[in-house]
Parts: sequence; C-alpha cells; structure tokens
Amino acid sequence: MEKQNHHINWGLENPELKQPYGSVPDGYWASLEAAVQDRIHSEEAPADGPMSLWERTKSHVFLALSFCIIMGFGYGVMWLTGTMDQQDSVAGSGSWDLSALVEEGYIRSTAGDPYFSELLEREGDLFDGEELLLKCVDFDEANEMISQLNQMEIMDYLYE
Amino acid sequence: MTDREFLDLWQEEDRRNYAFNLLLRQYTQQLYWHIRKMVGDHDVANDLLQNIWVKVWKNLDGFRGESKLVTWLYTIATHETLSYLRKERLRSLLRFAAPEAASHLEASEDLDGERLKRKLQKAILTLPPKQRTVFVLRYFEEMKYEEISVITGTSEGALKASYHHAYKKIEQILKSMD
Repeated sequence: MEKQNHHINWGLENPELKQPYGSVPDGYWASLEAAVQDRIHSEEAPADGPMSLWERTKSHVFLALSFCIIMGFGYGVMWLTGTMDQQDSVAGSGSWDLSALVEEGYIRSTAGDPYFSELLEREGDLFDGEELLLKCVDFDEANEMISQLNQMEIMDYLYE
Repeated sequence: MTDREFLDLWQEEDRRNYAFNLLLRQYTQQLYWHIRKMVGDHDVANDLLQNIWVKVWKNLDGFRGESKLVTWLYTIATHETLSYLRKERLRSLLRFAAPEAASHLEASEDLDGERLKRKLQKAILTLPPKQRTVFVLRYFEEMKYEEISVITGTSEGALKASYHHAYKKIEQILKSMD
C-alpha cells in the first residue's frame, strides 16, 4: 500500500508549516488572565522588600502610645475630680492602719504586754533591739542583759 | 492600541490593571506560541508565560520606549525561555539523559499537515537553544534580523549565520523523515 505522505511537501517553504502546532486546553485563554493577575498579587506582597524600622517598631510604638493615653486620661480625671490631692495626702502621711496589721499578725503589738510595761516603767524607753530581745529570751535574762550590755552588744547577740 | 496609548494608560495609577489586561490580551497568544515552539510542551509554556507576565508587570515602569513594546516583550520571553532551556539542559546532563521536550509532543494526529508540523517541532527541539531562538523568531514570526538582534543581544551577522545553519539542519531532519 502506498504511503499517504507520498505527496507531502516536506520543504520548509510549505506555508502550512508556519501554523502553530499543538493545542491548548479548553478555556485556557480565558483563564490565563485571572491566573496571571493572581500570580502578580500573590508575588507583590513579599516583593515589598525588607521591613523598614518604622514597620518593625510600629506595633510597639502604638502599644506604648495607647498606654500613655490611658495613663494620661486617668491622670486627667483624677486631677479634675481632685482625687489626686487626697491620694497624695494619704501617701505622704505615712499613717498605716496599724491595728489591721496587728490583727493580721504581720506585727506584734507591745501594748498591754506585762514584760514590756514593767521594763518601760523602769528604763523609761526601749530601743528596737531590746524589744526584740524580750521576745527571744525570758524576761529576767533580758533584763540583766539590758542592764549590762550596750545597744551594739545586744544587737550582736541577737544576730548570733 | 499603540505603544504610546498603552504607556499613557499605564501611567494612570488607577487604570494600571486595565492597561495591563489590554496588553496581555493583545500579545499573550503570540508570546505563548513563541515559547511553545521553543519548549514543545504546554505546561512548561504556560508556566513560563505566567512568569513572563509577572516580570512584565514588575518592570513596565522601567520601559523607556527605546524599542517597540512588542520587541521588549519578546526580549523578556526569549530570555526567560532560554534560561529555562539552559537549566533543563544542565538537568539532563546531570541525569546523563537527553532533554525530554520532544517526548511531550502529541503523536495522535491523523492529518498529514499535523504530522508534518509535529515533525518540524521535533526537529526544532533538536537545535541548540540559541539557534532554536533565532530559527523560531525568523521562520515563524518572520522578524527582521535587526529586531532579533535587539531581542537576543547578538550581532546581525552572527544571527544570519546561525539561522542558515539551523535552516539546513531542519531541512535535513525533515528529509530524513520522509
């Protein structure tokens, strides 16, 4: 059987050869535009280059700024209502609610303590070390030490 | 749309997308077939074409109109395709295998014209990348050597010689297939 391509012009001058060879999938040209746009938009974000100093610190600056605004607002309200003066007077007076602290057990009251009262009657006044000494040793021993030792020596003893 | 009309439209910030889409519609098929003839495969041609349009978008601000817009587009397309072919060649060398481009070609045509075109495409893929570029631009696009010289950055004399060699090779391959 004779070959079908017997009469084909194989020369490059054949104009049919200049036509595109192959095909593209259905709807390719229509979808290409959207695909290219998607690629462009997805590549544009990271293509902005390294972040500037402002971009890196922006969130921190805004956080600090909002904190300052809140503080400033609070300060302004206190200043307008006069609450700040009251706060200052309380803070400046140094007057703690001692009874509450004694009740909570943070400090021990010497008021009504018979040992303390007796010693106070005799000596007139006590310093911190002597009061502490009374809490550590019994009354007679403490009394004797107080009469014989000076303040520094009592402190050394307590330290040891 | 002329180059000037396009560039004027592109300069308007809010009409850039519109201008770009016009450009894409005008030249994308031309560029696609140029790439497809160089690589032989649709998927590769599609990837390259998309890369090329992204590059065009990114670099359009730098286009000064020193050459025709279409020449500039072909320059980007050709360089991108040559770069792919070089990498592909290197990959096949490392695998100790021949480039696979020709194997992508469809082989199911019954028509003589299609068979002929397939044989030509196979023959083109046997050419070295630079010769292939010159052959495709001159034979199919019928570009002047002057224009091909701008696209490839090669002298007109060298291009003429290159095309002559490519033409002879292709002719021989086609005759041997007869």
